Amino acid sequence: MKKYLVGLLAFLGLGLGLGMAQQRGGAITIAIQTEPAAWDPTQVAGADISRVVYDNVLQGLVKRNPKGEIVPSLASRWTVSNSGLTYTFTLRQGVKFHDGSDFTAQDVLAKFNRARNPDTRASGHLRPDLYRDIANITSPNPSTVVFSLRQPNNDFLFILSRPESLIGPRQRPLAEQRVQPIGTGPFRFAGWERGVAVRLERNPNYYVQGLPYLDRVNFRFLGDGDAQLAGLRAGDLDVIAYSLLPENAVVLSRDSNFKVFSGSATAEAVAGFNNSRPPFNDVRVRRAITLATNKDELIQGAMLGYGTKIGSMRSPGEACYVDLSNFNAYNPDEARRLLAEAGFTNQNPLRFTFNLAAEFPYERRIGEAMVAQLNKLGPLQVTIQVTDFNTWIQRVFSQADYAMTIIGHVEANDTSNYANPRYYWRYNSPRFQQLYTQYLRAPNQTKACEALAAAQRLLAEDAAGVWVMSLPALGAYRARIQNWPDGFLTPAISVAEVWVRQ
Amino acid sequence: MFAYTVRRLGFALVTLWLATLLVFGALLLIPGNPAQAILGIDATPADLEALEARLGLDKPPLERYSNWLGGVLRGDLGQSIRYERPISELIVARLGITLPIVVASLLLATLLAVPLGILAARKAGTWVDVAVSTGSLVGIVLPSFWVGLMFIYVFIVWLKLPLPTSFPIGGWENPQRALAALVLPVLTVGLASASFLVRLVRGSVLEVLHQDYIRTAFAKGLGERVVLYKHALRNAALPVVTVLGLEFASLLIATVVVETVFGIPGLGSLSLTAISARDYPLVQGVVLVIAAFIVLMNLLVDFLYALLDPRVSYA
Repeated sequence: MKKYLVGLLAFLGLGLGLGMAQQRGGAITIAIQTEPAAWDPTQVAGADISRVVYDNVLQGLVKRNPKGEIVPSLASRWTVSNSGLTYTFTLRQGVKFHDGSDFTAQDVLAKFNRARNPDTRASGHLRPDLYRDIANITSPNPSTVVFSLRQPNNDFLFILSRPESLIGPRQRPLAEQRVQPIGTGPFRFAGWERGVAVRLERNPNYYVQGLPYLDRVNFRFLGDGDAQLAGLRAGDLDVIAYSLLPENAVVLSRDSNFKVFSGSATAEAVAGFNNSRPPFNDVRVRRAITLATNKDELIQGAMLGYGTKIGSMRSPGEACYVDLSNFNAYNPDEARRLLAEAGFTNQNPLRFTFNLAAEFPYERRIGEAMVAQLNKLGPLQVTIQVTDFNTWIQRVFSQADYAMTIIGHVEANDTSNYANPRYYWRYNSPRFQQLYTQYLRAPNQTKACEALAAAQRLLAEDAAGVWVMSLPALGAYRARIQNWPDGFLTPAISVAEVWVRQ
Repeated sequence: MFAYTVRRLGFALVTLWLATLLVFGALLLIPGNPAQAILGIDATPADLEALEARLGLDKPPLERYSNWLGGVLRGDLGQSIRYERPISELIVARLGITLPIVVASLLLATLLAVPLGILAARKAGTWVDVAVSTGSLVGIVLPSFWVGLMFIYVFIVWLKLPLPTSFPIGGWENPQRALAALVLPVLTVGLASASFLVRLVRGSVLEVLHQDYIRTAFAKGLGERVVLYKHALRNAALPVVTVLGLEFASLLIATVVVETVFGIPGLGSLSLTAISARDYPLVQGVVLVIAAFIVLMNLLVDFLYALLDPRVSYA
């Protein structure tokens, strides 16, 4: 009965939504936390670049929508051969770049030949490793592009949906594309005021009829959470797109002028170990730390309930997710027993330093609360070291000169990092690497998910990290904003279909 | 006086040169690297190497330093690594926002602190004095990021004054809106600075009022007004002028916090970005400019001192 009622309400809601006609025009200002160094995701990595340009300005053959599904973008459809080695894309016709030039198969060829060039100094393209499996790319006719792979790769479509795979005009100089990207998206990149904002303007030639609704979109760089809140309440901002502080979400949710959303996202707060060095090369110690971490309390205390408990390296909204949130569940007695077995007692406690990057409010407060929990256990003495992000990158991320740290991993489908023993967790498990290869080469989706599920389970058994929670895409907007994409399983803050009630 | 001026200017230049050495050395010591900051954590070693070569970071430090210093002497601060823009252009644009804040704050501080300080000194020990002193103490201990946020809540969210909470996109294109955006920052910085100055003015006037020549002046039968304005204030002004000069420099640095709270793209927020991005040439440029301001203010204070106090001799 309840199910029908929900269905009826949803239907009525839908009716109301349809009854309110979308209006064209208007401008909105969206707060984002940090300003990237440049705006071309093929040359510079960073989540904030994609949040602004992905699918708003620059598009690829395929894209990830807010639900995380891979859907057509510049390719209207595609087929995969039975061998899994040939991907044939049919390109959308009549598409123009923002500079007026035509989008053609030659742009696609030029892009991916550049991307897979191992000489990054010549190509200026990041991550040639992603495209290693491409044997060659051809265009049998102007509306078709064919990729031939060296070996099957279940992540291939996902790779094509990554920000690195976005396509610009082939003649565009890289230095210009970096500061003023030209693409095929619903908005053109109109200007970048350094330190202040980026301005996007409607692309009048956009190939989807009627889109976008808005005339202008400003992305404003405002790092301070309280300043963001003040700006939203004062009317200078229309949207805080993500990383709204939980306490501010509570305040705003009581006010009918604003809507708070907590969408599913692909970000995991990972308290990572350096698996290659004592004390964390001992699985008993790693498991003890996991058992001594009360994730429910952290979600309540540090995040006021915004967050989802997880138990391995994957978020609930992602494909092939396995719920392991109660694996290694909170059990301080067992934690003490394991530590004692590994030689650590109240008289001889385990001492180590926990590194925190100062810039990220979520990770910092979760990390600090977690250390407080660990220190209560007895046989643990954890000290916190806070550094700026750049220092964190060099010491922890590049040199793995650390014991334990916490950071948010926002990228989707990033379980693969555990298959790389050089990654900063220094997790080297041949079994895991084998499972991950099985996933990549699986002949079908079911087999692929089976392998990925086994890989997630193995991580949990190995306690390779403490996956504290899946971080929400926590944000808020003014009530006049309509059709805001609540899901955040895409790299983008998609604004093509957003409109404002006048 | 001429020899003194030349010597003073010489010292100023040496100070600036030492500042460049210090900041360059400090940047060599701190961990982190601009190529990594630009490329992000997914960058491969090959990516990093390619970018470092493009940025010239693969050259030895001494060569980089002398190249940079040579450029500075020719009036060229170089290119920002992060923003790919001439540094002088960035700094001038940011100073165009920060300098008005600093000057207006200092003006506000002086207009508030001087009369209040004199009042407190004249009424020393009374409730007026206690009120001023307590108020100033509160102003000093409250952190400016908190005061700034409270101002936003009180003036904008509650009282609904039509003030922006952050510098408008488009900057000075709309001067009225831009100026409106500076009201609360100026109030925040100005009040903090006034709290500090008022104690100084009070102390300084009080000290002068206890001097023998003031007692003599009163004994001669001069009125309080004449004694205060003709004798006391001129002498009390000396330490205040010194501090005002130094305060200018410290406000230039204090804006970092206020610019963060109010989302103002000034020199303070530029220096913060430069440091967190390890944009070495930009950090060097900003530090050099701030150091130049400090040195300049010190010079001005010294010369003003000479004007205000004829007893200061310059052999």
